[in-house]
Amino acid sequence: MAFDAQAIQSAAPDPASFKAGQGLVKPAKWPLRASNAASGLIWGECQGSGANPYRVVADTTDLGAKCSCPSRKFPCKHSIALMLMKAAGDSGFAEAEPPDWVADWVGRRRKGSGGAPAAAPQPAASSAAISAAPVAPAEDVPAEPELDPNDPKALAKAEAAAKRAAKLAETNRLALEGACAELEGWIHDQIRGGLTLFLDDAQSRCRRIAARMADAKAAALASRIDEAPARLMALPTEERLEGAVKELGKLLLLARAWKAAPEDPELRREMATAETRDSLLDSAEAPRSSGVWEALAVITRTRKDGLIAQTSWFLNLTAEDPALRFAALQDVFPASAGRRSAPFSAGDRFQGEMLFYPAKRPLRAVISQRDPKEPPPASWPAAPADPLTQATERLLAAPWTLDSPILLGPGRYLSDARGRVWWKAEQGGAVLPLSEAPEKPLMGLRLTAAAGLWNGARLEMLAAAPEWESVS
Amino acid sequence: MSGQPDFALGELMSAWASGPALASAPARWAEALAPGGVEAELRLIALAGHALEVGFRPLPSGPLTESRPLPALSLPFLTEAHRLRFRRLLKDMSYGGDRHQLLRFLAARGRVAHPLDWTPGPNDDEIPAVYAPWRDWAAGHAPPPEEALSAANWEDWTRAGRRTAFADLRRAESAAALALLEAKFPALKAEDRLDLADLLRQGLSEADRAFLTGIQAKDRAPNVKQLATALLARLDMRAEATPEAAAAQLFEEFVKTERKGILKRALTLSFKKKREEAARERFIALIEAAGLEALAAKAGGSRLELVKAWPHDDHLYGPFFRPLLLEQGRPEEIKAFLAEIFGMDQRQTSTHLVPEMMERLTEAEQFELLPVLFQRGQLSFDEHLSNLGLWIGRAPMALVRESRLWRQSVAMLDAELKGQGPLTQLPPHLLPEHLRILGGMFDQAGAREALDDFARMGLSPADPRLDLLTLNADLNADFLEAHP
Repeated sequence: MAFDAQAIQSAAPDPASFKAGQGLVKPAKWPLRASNAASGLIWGECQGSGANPYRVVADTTDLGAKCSCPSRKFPCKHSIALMLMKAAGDSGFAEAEPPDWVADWVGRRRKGSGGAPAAAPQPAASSAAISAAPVAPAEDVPAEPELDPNDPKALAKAEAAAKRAAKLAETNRLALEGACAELEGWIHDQIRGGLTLFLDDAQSRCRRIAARMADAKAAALASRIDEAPARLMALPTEERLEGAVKELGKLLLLARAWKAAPEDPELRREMATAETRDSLLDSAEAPRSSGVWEALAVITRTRKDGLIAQTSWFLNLTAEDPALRFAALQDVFPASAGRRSAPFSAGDRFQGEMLFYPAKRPLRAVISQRDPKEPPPASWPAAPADPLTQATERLLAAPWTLDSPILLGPGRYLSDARGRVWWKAEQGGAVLPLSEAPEKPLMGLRLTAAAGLWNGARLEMLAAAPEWESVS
Repeated sequence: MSGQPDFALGELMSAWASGPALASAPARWAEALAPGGVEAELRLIALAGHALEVGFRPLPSGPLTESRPLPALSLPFLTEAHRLRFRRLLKDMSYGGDRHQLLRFLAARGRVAHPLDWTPGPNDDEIPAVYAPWRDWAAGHAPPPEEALSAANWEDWTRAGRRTAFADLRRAESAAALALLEAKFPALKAEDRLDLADLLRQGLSEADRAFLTGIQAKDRAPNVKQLATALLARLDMRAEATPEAAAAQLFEEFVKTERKGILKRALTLSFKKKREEAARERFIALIEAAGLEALAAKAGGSRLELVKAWPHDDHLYGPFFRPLLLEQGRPEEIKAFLAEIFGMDQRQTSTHLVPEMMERLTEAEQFELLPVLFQRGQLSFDEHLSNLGLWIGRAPMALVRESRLWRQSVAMLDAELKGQGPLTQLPPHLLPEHLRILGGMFDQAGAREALDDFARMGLSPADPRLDLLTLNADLNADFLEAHP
């Protein structure tokens, strides 16, 4: 079978998909592209609407393809784009051995055995590594056509659009200002009535003010307030009052900080919505961090608004700047879409670059470049003697922060009289209470290193490296 | 010290519990928070919350205790590369028996599971012995004592470890075991009383009568009393009848004897149909009282002939011959029994006590049985691997290639790869099970050869159904050779 643009166009399910695929032929959108000449396989990772890139694999011998995006079209625009780039002789494809998820697809494909035939109008069988959740198509769209400076009509149209956007931005800013004023009044009402009463009725009180925030376009703030009761109820009763003081204090600090700098991208993100991925990819100022990245954990939570928030946590083992040591890839999708498998598992490593959303202490990121080759060996960096200094630094820079990733040195788990589990540093004696008891065998092992999320009261372990030698 | 931040924050918290707290703040703070009123209250809560986060940290209210370190095992863990495949296999095996066979396979290859992938529960009796230290750790016990079980060290054992040690003691010194049980019995839980009294079946004798009579009369648990009654009934049977009389009674009531064949030389036994529970109990008592020697004499043949002629495939009475054979059988008799069992239609026979019988044979004797065993089809992973004895993960390709299991696997795979759909005589779920069984049977060379064969047929090496075969092919036996 020929492998050229014409053949790929024939395999596309409709002209719109092919056009959308052409729109994704942009190397900046593809942190990873690789091929294996012997098998005719090509694969890559494409930045889609989520933080985790979509994994795409295609067989150039029969145009069979598979993508982890939720599109029902087959092949999807990502697969088409990958094939188009290869067919056009793109030199960005590194020659490599197929990774496990590619081999897995090949294995499950079972040519001629009842599996999905190449270029058939149905998705191929799903696999653990490449999910095909039946949800609405991804939100990324082909790039806008470039503006012709000699076309007065187009220029006028663009100017009108810019004016509309500016007007909308101003309306939104005013709405957010109103939301901040309402929030401050609400916080004071809670104080006036006593925080014991607030705690007794936190669920409905927070739900009501969260709805008001959502009405005022403060979507992120609304979600944060909606989740506050769950964070408070996770604490032991005797710690909830203190928890409420912290929660309300942080909300006030966030609202005041935004009022002082409404254009600040981090504050706008905390209040309303994040900037688009494309604008991030095009940004020259966005911080970048290269090195050997290790996936620590994937945390999936169902939010009150019915959405699923999936965060993949990464640690840069070779980071020069400790402030860019951790990265969080965040995805949010509707619960109705079902469980979506994350492309990374704890312990996976790769060499590459993360592009961070601008912030005082950048954390949220996307993968901007990834080397398909095995990363060089690297060990975990040394942790500061007092692990909480990492959280304190973050809180001093951004006092509204809820969770701070921290690196922990050698230590082990211990139990208190109530059966609650604590992590204790081997050196210095720092102790931190855990949000959940670890798996039982870990209680009997020394930990050479660990990483967790500190929320001001509890430590949620992301990864822990037990000392294997002690049990073999 | 009201001027100290922690004291001041404590005062503020108490105030906020019921309302505003500005009036409770130290004067210096209130002045700094000018202009007062609502704004000052809001600033106060923001600053207090921030101070609580960055200036204070939780501390335990009492001392923290450390768990005993997870003990070392005598074999190394699976490597990181193999753990992923092992976890996938474990996830697919919801049945405990399958999981235990997988662990047996690993142990046979000189490897153990990583503790973050699998650890035994405190009462997990069926696991390979290499995991015993972890089972003790899970039960919160120190390692078991080096010396034999005694009244002095009784509490130092885990429940499972104590049970095994007691069974060993009963086999070696039945009187000492009885004396120990008598001493400890009153303080035991009903569950443990039942469990340990049941082990008196081994070497049951008149010496046990007084103890059993005591618990029959006084024990608080009905099931323990019931057990004592059953064991006493067996003793009564032995007392009333000699082995010859018990054998005669058994044949009279339950067994038909025939000679078949042209020369009427082949001994054939079958059961008269008596299905009530009481008859079953009587059957058990009679067969135990008779013993192999008297049964063979009554049947009119040798012990070996008796083993071969016994209707092992009878679900009602057939299996009760097995404990007798396990206790009194000679290796050639056990081998003959296993050959009979393996040669039968697997749907007609259970695997009850088969692994224990295999353990009584030498490696060479077990090997001689493999060709018969491999002709069996439609066995589960657990059943097949539990029958392999010492040959788990060691079966040579030459032997397996001739087997029904291999032929069926190849035929099913061929049909699938050619898109012919499932073979009518073999349900499709059999193929993954067969491939897994093969994965646990082969030696390393055989596993590699099988993978090559399947790849030539067109099956991708990445197919998850080949996980155990691939793990097998990757796990070399070098470690075993270095640590016999």
